[in-house]
Amino acid sequence: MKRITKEIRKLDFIATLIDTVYILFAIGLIYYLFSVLALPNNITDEVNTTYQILGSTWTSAQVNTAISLLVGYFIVFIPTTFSNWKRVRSKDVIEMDEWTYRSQYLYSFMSLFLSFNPFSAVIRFLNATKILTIVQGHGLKQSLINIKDDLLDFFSGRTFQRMKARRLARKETSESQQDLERISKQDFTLKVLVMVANYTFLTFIALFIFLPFYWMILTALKTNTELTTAVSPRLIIGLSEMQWVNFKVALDRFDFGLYLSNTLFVGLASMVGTVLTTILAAFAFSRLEWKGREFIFSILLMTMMIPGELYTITNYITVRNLGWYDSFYALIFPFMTSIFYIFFLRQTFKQIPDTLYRAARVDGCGDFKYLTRVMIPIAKPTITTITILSAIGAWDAYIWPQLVAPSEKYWLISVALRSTRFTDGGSDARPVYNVQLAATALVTVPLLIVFFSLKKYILAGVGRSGTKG
Amino acid sequence: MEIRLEELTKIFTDKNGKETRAVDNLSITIPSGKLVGLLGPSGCGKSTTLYMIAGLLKPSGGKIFFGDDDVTKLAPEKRGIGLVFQNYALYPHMTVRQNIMFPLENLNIKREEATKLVEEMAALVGILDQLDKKPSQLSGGQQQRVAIARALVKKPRVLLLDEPLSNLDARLRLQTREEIKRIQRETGITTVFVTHDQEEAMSISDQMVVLDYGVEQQMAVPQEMYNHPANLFVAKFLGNPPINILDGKIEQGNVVLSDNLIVGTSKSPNATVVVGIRPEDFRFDPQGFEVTPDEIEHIGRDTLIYFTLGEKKVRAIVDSDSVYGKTKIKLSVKKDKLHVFNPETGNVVL
Amino acid sequence: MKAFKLKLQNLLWRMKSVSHHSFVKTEEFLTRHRLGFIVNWPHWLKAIFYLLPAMLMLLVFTFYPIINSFMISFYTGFNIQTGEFDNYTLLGNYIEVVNQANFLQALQNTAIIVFISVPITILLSLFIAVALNSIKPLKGFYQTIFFLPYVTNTIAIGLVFAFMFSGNTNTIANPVGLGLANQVITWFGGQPIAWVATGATYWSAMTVILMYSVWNGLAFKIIVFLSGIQGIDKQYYQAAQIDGASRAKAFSRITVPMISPMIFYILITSVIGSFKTYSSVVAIIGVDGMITTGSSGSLNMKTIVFYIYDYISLAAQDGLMSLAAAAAIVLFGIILVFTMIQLQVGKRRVHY
Repeated sequence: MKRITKEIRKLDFIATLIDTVYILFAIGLIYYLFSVLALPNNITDEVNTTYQILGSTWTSAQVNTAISLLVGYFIVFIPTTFSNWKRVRSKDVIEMDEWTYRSQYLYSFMSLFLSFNPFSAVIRFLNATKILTIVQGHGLKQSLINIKDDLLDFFSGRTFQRMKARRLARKETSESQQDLERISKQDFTLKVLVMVANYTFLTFIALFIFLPFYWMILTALKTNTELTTAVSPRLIIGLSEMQWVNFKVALDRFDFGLYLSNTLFVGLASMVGTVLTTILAAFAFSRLEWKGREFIFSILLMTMMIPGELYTITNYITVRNLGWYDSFYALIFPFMTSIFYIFFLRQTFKQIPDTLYRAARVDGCGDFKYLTRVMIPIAKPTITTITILSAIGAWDAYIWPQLVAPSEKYWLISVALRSTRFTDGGSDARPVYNVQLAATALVTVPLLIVFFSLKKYILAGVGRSGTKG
Repeated sequence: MEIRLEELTKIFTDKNGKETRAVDNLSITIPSGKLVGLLGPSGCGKSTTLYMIAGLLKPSGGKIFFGDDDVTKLAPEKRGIGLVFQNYALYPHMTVRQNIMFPLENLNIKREEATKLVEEMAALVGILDQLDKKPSQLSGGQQQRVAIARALVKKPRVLLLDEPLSNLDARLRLQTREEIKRIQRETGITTVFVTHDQEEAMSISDQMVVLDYGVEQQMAVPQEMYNHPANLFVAKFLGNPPINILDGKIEQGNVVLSDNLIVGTSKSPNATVVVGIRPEDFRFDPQGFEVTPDEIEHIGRDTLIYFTLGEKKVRAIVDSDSVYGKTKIKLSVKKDKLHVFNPETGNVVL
Repeated sequence: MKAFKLKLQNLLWRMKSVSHHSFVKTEEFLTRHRLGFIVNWPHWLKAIFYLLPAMLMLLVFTFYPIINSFMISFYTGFNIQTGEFDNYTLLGNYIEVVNQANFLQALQNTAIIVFISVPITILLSLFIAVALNSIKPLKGFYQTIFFLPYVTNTIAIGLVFAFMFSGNTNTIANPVGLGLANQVITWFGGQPIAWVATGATYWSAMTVILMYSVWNGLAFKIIVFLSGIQGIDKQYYQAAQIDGASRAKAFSRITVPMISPMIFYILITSVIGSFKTYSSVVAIIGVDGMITTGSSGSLNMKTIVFYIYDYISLAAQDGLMSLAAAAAIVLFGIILVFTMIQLQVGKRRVHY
């Protein structure tokens, strides 16, 4: 048994490795195609040229289709490969039930037909069969025979006969039993109705929420002519019509690299500063005992009510006086300390029982050591949430950066988005929406990726922040 | 390491200025290498005393000595104590091994030596195979053993346990009782533990100290305390079912209860007294006094007889064989099993 | 590999042990020579040490500004270059601010946003949280989608919103295609409206802003309510079920009271946050906050905060900073009043 498990793991590992190679190759391919795209002369122009790739001539439409397919491939396969890697690397006992081998079969088919990866397909198929043998106690052949038997039963009406016999048997039961069954059926229908209503409601809201995102990507992929001339906008466009070149135009005009590095720098710096000050302050307010602790904390809480604009005015003057105007210092320092985070972390620290502190004292542990060795590891989820949220904050910041660091070299990503003009050369300088939304998508998508990978922590942390009010 | 408490006092003041004497001039000596139980009802100051010995609470008055050293002003980590908390206080994010190793980080020893100590201690308490689990994966009894191991790993002079058995279920309690006794025997370390369960204390302690409202009531070897309680409180506290308390007087060398019933003799002068008789100290005696039982319960080996004596309800336990089939119930009190107390002070009268 | 790891662990252990021990030795040495106070700090001193970084930041960027803003608002003619004032006037700035038509318009705009979007958002997110709580499959999927607005850029999606609500004409003179909203309207046979473009009406623009505020605000509230509802002991519902209570009754008599602390918290923070609306308006309407309604008029869609920022950016002109400060303090006053009212109401109705 153990030998087979080891074999399965090894095969899983190899298959995932091959998947990764394919993905890397696809990344290279898409990069090449993207760089080959020709920029239009005028921002509103549509591009329709031919490209020479690998000796053959491709039209714009074909290149678009290729890129679209590759993007679709990424969306499906990168997350699955990640989860595959996690499964391969985990030291836990692997679960083996029907879902395991069914999903392996699924992956094998997907590998073969969707990503043209016959190697992984074959390996996963073998793996799936092995797991099937272990779980069901019989091999693939027997499973197929079972399926065939079930189908035969179904088509020859034997299944129906069985169901009918069961129903007749039920009718023989007593009156009260039938009543009960009727009531339970009513209950059941009610439950089903409620469930349907629930899902409909949720789906509507989900559509409402998701619509802007979809619209953003959709518009970013349309041509400008379509946007300005079409009478009613289309809801879906074909793979070959996806104008990936818009992204390239956006990148051309929008110094993404600079703004991204600015935002990353400010984000990381303020995150480090925030986390450090918050941990120390929350420790002081929760674990240490000193006179006036609660009093000062209540005052801090009250300041949360004051609109940020009140601070802005004076902080603007202070920043100018300190000579920090138009520099990174102005972006990082003023809002480094957030009372909200201190409050949040203090709540978490307070939940660590006192006896633990006393036990640590008896063990010879000082205050600082207790903070670093015991409190921080226990409060890790909260600290993670604070880290993530404070880093994301830099992404969203607009008002303050625009006020105190107006020169372009300090622009953060939101500031740049709002300020860069994606306009046509015309006299009334109307914004060119497809390119502008392409830039917006470029700004939004990285954050979405971060969110999807960390969503477990973010959702848990935000939820907890509300429990103590 | 002998522990000596001199006039130890702890006064708590609440925000209205009211003072509560949690521990009142306690002066006891805990002999070296013995397992001593601090026993008493809730709020009697036993945990407070324990924490003062540990150094987590500062005494309001008095001194504490470990051997010849005055440790009253010393911080807990400098006293060389091991403390097992009532809820174990294990670090939840560390494995068992790391938990036990934590106290050793502050001593100047090599890591290999520390690891060896950890394993030695784990073997002593019997969790050698759980070393890499986290506390949340262990049962209550196992967690407690980890807590004990952590307390002992730095070879302290004194081991303190705060209500070690109250979080365990009945069966585990019996088992763990024996474990604690075994570990104390093997290490020979001076151990003080706090409990409110008298059966528990009686079964494993070498000596017991009974406290009430911060004042020491008696300190003695368990069986001695049971047979010769120094005052009414101790007499009532020990023993299950509890002792029968009756009003009576001493008249001309006889101990007389209501209805002029003579139950025993006493050398003290005439006085009004309170008499205590344990249920098991009654026996069937054809020459004794007759009682009309309110109820009789036969429970295998024992027979419970409930009767009334001068408006007080009395419980007696006698051997089943001796009363079986008898129509009249006649009882007397076993010799030297009479406890006579002064009604005002509660102290025993000889 | 394993040997290396072991060596590393030993080294770390050694370092920790040595450092701790040297600390202890120095402490003993100092105590013996009556210099113990150097290492044995009293509690309050230790607290100050830990609080120092946070307090420093807070003092300079939080406490000082509050006082300073009050001061600025009491003077006129604050000159940003020299930092000098012209005159002392106690309430003069306030009176001037309140009298300005622009400010009153901003007040109205903000009030509409607060009193319409906040209740809608809270009720909607409450229902969504209840619905989410009662399904099991796809719960995580829905949760993820609902939380998306929280992690995205307010300005970015605001632009998308503005675009979705764009255009109602398609003439040569004004070649902008129909936005999505207008498309839907034409499906239902209606006439397309100019939502936020030239020729818009006040309420059409306000509707877009309100819709965006609701869209943005749902995410956080849903998560908080959901975790609150999940924390309610199932036994309450089981008891209600045995007593024959309907689902609606269970909701109003059990769910709502048990999460009333959360609702309260959300209500207060939402109202406060809603009073401070700014980025949404910038995203939808534009940096100047006004819509031209043809050749003559223009719509003022600014909020109070918008108004304040206008003054700040014009601060080069004398005296405007004081007005901005006064306006900000007026806003604070309004927020304070509403928060106090809510706290009072909450005392009776919130169960802990």
